[in-house]
Amino acid sequence: MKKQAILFTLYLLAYLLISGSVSLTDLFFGAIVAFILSIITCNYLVKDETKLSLTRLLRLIKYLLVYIFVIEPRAHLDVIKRIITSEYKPGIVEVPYYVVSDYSKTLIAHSITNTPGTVVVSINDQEKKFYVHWINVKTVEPLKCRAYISQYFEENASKIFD
Amino acid sequence: MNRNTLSGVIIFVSSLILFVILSYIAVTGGVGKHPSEEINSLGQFFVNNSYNVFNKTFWAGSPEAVTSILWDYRGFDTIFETTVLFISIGGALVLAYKKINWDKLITPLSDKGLTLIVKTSVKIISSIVVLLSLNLALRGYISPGGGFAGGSAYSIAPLLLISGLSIYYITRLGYKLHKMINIRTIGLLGLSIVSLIPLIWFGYILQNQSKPSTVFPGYPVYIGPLYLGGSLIYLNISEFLVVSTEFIIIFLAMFLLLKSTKGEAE
Repeated sequence: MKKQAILFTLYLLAYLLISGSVSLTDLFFGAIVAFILSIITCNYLVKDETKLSLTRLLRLIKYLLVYIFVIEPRAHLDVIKRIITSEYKPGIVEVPYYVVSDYSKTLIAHSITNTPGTVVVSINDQEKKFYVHWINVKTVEPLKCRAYISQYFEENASKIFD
Repeated sequence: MNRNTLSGVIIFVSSLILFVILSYIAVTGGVGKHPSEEINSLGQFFVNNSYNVFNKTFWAGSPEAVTSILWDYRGFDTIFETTVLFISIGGALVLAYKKINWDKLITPLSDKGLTLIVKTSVKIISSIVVLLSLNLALRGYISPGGGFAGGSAYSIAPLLLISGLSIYYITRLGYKLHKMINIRTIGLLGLSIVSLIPLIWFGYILQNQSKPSTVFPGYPVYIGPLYLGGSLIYLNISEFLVVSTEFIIIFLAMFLLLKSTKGEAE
């Protein structure tokens, strides 16, 4: 029930946001659409509803803000520097991860891909590692790579989704 | 000069020439006259009448002039467009259906889809796509959008799921060929019922609001506090059902055909 209610609220908010109005007609149709969608997708999107909490949501928002305003600009500046000085050593490295849920893995992978300079090429779920293309390979040792590339993302992702 | 450099130079020079010629054509008005700032008399009629609450003689009950033209003033055009799509999808199904080897499809082959990252992202994105498409269809009489746009946007969701996960996953979710054909029939029935109801009052086919020459009172624009925009919302919902299921039918038939004839082609 809890997950349905949360999904319903999110869908309704998204509907009103897309519509750009809160008239009674939009609320009515939005509620119908959100109700049907939340019933269809609740089992498919949420596995464990005890993990849905406000603290986790706040952590996610904080993470997104830090990501967009601190980590992204830093990575952009680094890549700009590399383009101008043409000082790069590209290669693919192994980066291990220790998170459990699918959402955390996805969040880490997208965070790595979205920062300029690193791209997740593939994932090996059995051995728990990403294959990351790195613009400037400083080391090939998996744990050191993790410290350079995904440590911060992983700590936050496990706090948010695990 | 080796071969690669030579072809690079040729490509560069020819793109440059193409760019210059196209810019010259665009600047000198070769792509047609610039549209004038004034609305012509035909456009003036629609702008003045589609949502004219003071003079309801020729109004459509919708501020979206494009949707009013599509479903009210020029409704037959859209009906025939739907018919063309209906016939072409039917023809495509006839061609594909017999070739699909259903026995081979019952046992899933080793088909696991793409990586976990793609699967998780696709699940989230497809639910947002569904929400967006329903919004387009349901608000088609208030803002740009409508049944056709919403339906074609909706069909992106199963397409994403097919490419990210697999065709078997989507069949288990309930996107089955026969079910889609049935839903399409419901949509077509909706279209015909809504367009034929005015005939009971000896009105016109596809009539939306009351006209001076008929006794048909028109579809309700407001029901209580809800703004429904006459017949446009029912037509948009039916068109949404028809178009979305038709696109899904084509995708399903295409991928089922691909899966069931995989071994034979090699």
